[in-house]
Amino acid sequence: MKRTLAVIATLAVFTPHSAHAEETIRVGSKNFTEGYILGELLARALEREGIRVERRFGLGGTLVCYEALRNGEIDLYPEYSGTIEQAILKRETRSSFSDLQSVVREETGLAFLPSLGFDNTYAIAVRRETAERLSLTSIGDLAAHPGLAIAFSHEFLNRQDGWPGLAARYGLPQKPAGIEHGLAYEAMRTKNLDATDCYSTDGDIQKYDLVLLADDRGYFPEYQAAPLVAPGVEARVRPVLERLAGTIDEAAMRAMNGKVLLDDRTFAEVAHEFLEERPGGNEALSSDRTRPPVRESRLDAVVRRGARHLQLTLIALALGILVAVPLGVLIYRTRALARPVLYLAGLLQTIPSIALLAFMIPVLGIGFRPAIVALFLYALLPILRNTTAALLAIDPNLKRVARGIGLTAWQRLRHVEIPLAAPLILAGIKTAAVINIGTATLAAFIGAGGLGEPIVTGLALNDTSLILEGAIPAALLAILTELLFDLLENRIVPEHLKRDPAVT
Amino acid sequence: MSVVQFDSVSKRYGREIAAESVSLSIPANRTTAIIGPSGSGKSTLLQMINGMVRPDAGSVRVFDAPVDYGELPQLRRKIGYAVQGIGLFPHWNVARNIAILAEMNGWDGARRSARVRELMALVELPEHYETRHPHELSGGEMQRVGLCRAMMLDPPLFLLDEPFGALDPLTRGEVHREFERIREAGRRTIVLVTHDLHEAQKLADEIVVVNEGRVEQQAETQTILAQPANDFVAGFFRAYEESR
Repeated sequence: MKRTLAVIATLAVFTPHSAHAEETIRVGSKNFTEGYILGELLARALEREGIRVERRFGLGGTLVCYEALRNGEIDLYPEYSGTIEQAILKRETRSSFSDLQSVVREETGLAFLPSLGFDNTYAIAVRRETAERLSLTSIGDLAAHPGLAIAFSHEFLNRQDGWPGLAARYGLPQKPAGIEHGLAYEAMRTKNLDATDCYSTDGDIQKYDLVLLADDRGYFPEYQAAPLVAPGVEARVRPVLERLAGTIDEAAMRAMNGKVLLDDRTFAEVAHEFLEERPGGNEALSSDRTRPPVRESRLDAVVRRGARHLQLTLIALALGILVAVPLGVLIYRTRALARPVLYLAGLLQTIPSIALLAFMIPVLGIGFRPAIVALFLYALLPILRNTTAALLAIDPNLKRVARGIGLTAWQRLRHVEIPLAAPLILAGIKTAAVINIGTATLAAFIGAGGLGEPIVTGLALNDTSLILEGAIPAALLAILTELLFDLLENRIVPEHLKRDPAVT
Repeated sequence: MSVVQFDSVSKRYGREIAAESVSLSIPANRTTAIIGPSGSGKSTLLQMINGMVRPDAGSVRVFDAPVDYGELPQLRRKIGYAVQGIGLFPHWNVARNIAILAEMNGWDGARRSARVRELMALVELPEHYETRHPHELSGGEMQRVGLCRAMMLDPPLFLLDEPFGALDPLTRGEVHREFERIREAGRRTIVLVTHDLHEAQKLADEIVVVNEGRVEQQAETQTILAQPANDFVAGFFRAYEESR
């Protein structure tokens, strides 16, 4: 017991704290390829000017990033004008980029810096051969060719601001089919499909040699990418980041996405190369800041993430035990509390993990702490329920005798009830531990690291081997935990409970 | 001189009457059996002596003082307690089961094990049983361990709640003999609840017959058998004889 506590204490000491040295700028990013690349680009651009940067990449979507920025958990992250307009400000109308910049300043106090130079919006992609043969250059040109084979992703096909509106705006007669996005490119390669929807900076556009049709009637909203910056650091980062404004066009962004997706380059490598090749890029500063990124070996990465994963799980589990076991004893002794407490714990358990993590952001921000709290909440129910059930299940005659021979309430609990309940309590702790190891993979969505990191990145890159790099160690860890608990169980479960009930 | 006194004690469980204005005194240094049909309230009376049941009305005095419900563990350590299911703690060996109260009272190890050995010898349990666990004992052996536990602190008062009820006749005879030896080993007051008239006759100096929460008769064993005070007592004895 003492040793366990010592281990927990040690882990707690090494827990990263959220207090930051003033000069460090925390750069966030969303969890998809382009988000990572842009995050890395902004981070490296700052580092080249001697600014210390902390990376908090792969955050789970717009909500997580935006809340993290509002709550001062990160200082900046790359965002898109269309997303700000629709998802964050929830505005019906469309405004120009410069109007949007002032609206953002007024309504949120944040700074939306000048566009990096590209618009990652919806687009219609056509096979080069088809486009040249039929001289297709704009979306309107499709109207004259009702026989074209067109298929769209299911989402685009059904969204009001997708195909239905597009067809109406351009008077398109086609009846496109729905298709899984990844398969659409493959179907175009084999010439079974002429056109599909995509994002204008998809790395695949180059790979499959596709042509994007111009949206000359301005149907699709603009998704200009630019850094969204907290007011506190604006003065320091603006001069550096403004130099990046207008330097990345769609083709450049497509190329960078392609390098990561298709050539298996890292985000850091791609960002580094872009900054080096940029005009004036190599005249920068001291060489150690421009040193190309070093790839971590796969084993090192797994060990590092595994250690972080264990740290997350164990701290949350230890807290769960410290709270749930005494609470279980309390509600066993105060029956009136039993129902409300168990219901509440059950309710917590039903909140989807990713939603629970999102709820944590306004209160606790992102990173290690909210992940610990969320995992702690998930650990509560199994331990609590087993503790109470185990205590209630003790032979009433034993309880009566323990009372009748003159043991005090505390002595009964300490010497009789807890030891007799221990095997079931341990089973609850085991359940909680295994749940935590699984759930902790989601902690990467709020930047807490662990084995979820490669899973989140792998999902962004659609890279199965990267996903497995997180999933397999996590599964092994779960199995190992299960085995360790079985061993422990063997040691603490008393002989009489291992046998069949004695016949007397 | 009496060790336990009930004064107009009443207790109900919902509509069920467990004790109705019971006044009773239990004499010191003798064995008193409380008998009656099931549901008569005999066990409730016993459990009011060590405060396991608190009366709705009336008062219970033990060792010449009213039961202090705030300090029950202290009272209970002066009262040996054995019940039908025995209730040995399954996670402890025989020695710890017997010695638990001494352990809680801070006796040192040597004193504890000396006393445990003395008691085990008294009930004829072999010394090497000390390290066995309850699931390794026979019913009779468990019962004897239970008696040892009750005697550990040498309490002046003993409460036995149908302790021999679940034993087969052979084992029961054996345990009865142990009981007799315990009784002879020191002067103490024993209160025994049983539904077995034969057992009461054999073990008790005095018998209390209860029915529906009332005391029907209290008298010396020989007297009560010869002179039942009323039709219920006579009928209870007769029914018992017929059922044998």
